[in-house]
Amino acid sequence: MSEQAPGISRQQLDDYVRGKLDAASSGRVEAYLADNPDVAVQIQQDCRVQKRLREMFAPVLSDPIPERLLDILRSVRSRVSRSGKP
Amino acid sequence: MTPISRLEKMIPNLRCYSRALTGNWDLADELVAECLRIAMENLDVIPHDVMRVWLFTRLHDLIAHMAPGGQQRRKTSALARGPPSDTHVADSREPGLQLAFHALTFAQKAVLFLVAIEEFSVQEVAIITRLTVRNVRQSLREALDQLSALPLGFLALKEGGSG
Repeated sequence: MSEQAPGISRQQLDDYVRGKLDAASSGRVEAYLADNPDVAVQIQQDCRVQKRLREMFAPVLSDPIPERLLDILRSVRSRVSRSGKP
Repeated sequence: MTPISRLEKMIPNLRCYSRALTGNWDLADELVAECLRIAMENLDVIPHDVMRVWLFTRLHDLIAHMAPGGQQRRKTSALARGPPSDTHVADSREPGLQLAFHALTFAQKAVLFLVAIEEFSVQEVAIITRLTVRNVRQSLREALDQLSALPLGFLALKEGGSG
């Protein structure tokens, strides 16, 4: 991802990968990628690695939260309700 | 949603980040607990729209300071590099990817996780990790290149449904 077409910034490529661009901007990036297959292949590969990482960490994200961590929040909740704050 | 509810909703993500960087479940949860205590003490002053960035920044600092010698030695510390001390830090069906991830430097792991799992922008990652945007991009590129270089088209095979 070392070169960008006029009007296509590194930031736009980042945002494209993150799915944060509107349709018009996505279209411009896609046109750029069509003209730059090396960059397109790299982006595709990057997306593949990131997808595998999301799958790898998914079980950790769905682990039950330990009570001792929830207790930290509960202690403040009860303190707030005792003090009459909303 | 109250600030405390929002905080509670973020605990799994904070735990996952902490585990990814420390490779140790107990230590990871201790650091998350400390991060939550700090957050609770500052709940009134954390702007709601940047709570995620604020939390990850505090947690990142806590993890980074666990490395002997602090920031200067992060890259070579046992915490920053090497295999996890717990074998089941993430999905055990991905041993190759897991080992490759843990072989990355501290900065590479942090940046890659924050971009790939949390979908932060490079600007947000720069704030959280206290790196420059340029260094964030560089660490991300290096990390992605290393994981893409897994032997025998590991990722492509996985994509094809062999694993």
